[in-house]
Amino acid sequence: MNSEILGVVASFLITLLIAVPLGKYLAKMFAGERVWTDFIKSLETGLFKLAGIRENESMDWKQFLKAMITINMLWLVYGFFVLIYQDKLPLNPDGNGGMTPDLAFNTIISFVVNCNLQHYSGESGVTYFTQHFILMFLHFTSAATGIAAGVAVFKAFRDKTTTDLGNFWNFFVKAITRLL
Amino acid sequence: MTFNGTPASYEGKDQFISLQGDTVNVSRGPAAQMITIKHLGTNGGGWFGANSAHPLENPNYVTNMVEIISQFIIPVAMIIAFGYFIRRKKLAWIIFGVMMIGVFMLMIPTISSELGGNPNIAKIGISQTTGAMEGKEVRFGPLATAYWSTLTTVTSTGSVNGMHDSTMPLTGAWQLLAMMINGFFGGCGVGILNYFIYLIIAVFISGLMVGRTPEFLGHKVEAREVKIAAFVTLISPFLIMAGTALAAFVFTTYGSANWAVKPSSWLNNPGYHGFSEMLYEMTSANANNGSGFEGLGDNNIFWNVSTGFVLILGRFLPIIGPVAVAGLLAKKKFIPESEGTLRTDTVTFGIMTLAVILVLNALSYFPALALGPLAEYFSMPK
Repeated sequence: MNSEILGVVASFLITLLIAVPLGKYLAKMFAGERVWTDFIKSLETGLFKLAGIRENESMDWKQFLKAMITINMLWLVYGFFVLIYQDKLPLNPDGNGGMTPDLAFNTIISFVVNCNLQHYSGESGVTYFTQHFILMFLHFTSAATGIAAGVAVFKAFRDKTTTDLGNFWNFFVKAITRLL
Repeated sequence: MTFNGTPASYEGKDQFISLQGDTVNVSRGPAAQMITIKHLGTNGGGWFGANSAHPLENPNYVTNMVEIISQFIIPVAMIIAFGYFIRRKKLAWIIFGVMMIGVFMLMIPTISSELGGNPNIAKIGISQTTGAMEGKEVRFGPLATAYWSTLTTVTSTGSVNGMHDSTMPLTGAWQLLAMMINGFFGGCGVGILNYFIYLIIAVFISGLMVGRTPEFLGHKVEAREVKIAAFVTLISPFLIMAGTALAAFVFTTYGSANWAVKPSSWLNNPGYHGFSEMLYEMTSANANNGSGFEGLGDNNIFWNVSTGFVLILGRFLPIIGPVAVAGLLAKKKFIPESEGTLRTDTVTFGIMTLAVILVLNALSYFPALALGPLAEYFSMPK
């Protein structure tokens, strides 16, 4: 019993020990100050160039939300169809079947919104292909979407009066490359 | 994770002969990477159906600790980052403190109700020195499961290392409440957005109470922002209650509808617990949590479609709201702090926010909680 309590207390303390420095690092990183992970910068610049995004362009809150919702809807449509036709796609050693449309609808929304309510069972409902290219992909992106929105709110209160909430793409990509 | 036995290969199902002599097919797959990100990103969608109670997904106590730590660090770190980013560390620590108090208020009763054991089993005369073990994994024990279940519901992770359906009724109530509040740390980034909405409301209410202009960090909070904030706080109870009510209605009225799982056989446990199962599903969907009570036959058109809509509204409205409020506030003229300013980075204001959160949620959700887990608790033998 005592060792159980000890285990819980230990996990709790370790969490705090990691979280505080991590928080400071995040603040610096999103503010664009110099941090130790700056070596990834060339990769990010490459990504932005590839996608034709000007990462330092400022957005007001409407543009910011528009960017966020557009990309999320895109994943929604893409994931929906891949889930339905997953039985015809590669990486399916166990021969799991495709999803019914209503299940695919639920699953894809659930993963896009960082919820992951699972009405299927991982072993039989999805294939390795969908686990990786839909579900794991969305694990990263949905978390990054949330973080980007959070940082936008931070940004709003950093300066005295501003319409600039920062750039969604910039926060979004950085959340993935520098954090997750 | 991989070193502790979580599979990371692309091979298909493995076969082995179990101790009972049956041939068992064990599903495998490249799961290790996914489990790490599922916790870091407070996602919670596991590789295997049983989630982190599955022996291949969470092989031992060490991985259990790693998973529990990793699902909690980013939400905590975001709060600290907030303070450093806007150069108001004190405000962040106050928020941190309020959230910690909130977490403990949920965690301590959970742990005590789990360790207390199940009175129904006690009545048969079986001693439960380890606490209520139903639905738990022996390798973690009820305490670690209670701790996990609190953290997974306060953040939006929703992974489980024990079956929430089998936890004690009061534990169920705390899990539900944690997801309904959804602002004590919360998910990656979105937790602080939910808290921000509560903050705006607290600023407004306390501004009215002491007769000062409600302002937050040097920006006046006016009708428009409060309206958005109020709308966001009201939409969650609406979605949860309406969803559960609809489910209960379908369950009683169209019990034999011709779906994949008949509505009348949705529930593993009829009665109060069945109501909790439906309530939990809707709450979990709205809070973007994704854990399930799992007693519910949820793969059918009704649950898939209804929770699908609840999910998407419960995700994007609470993001759009705070970002819009922040955008509107940031545009306003900055008012330097003066004698007349209501300071938001004091302990008093922190307590005020906590009170606002508790009152709002108690008012919104008490009836539903009373019908589900609380009724079940009071109907158990003492």
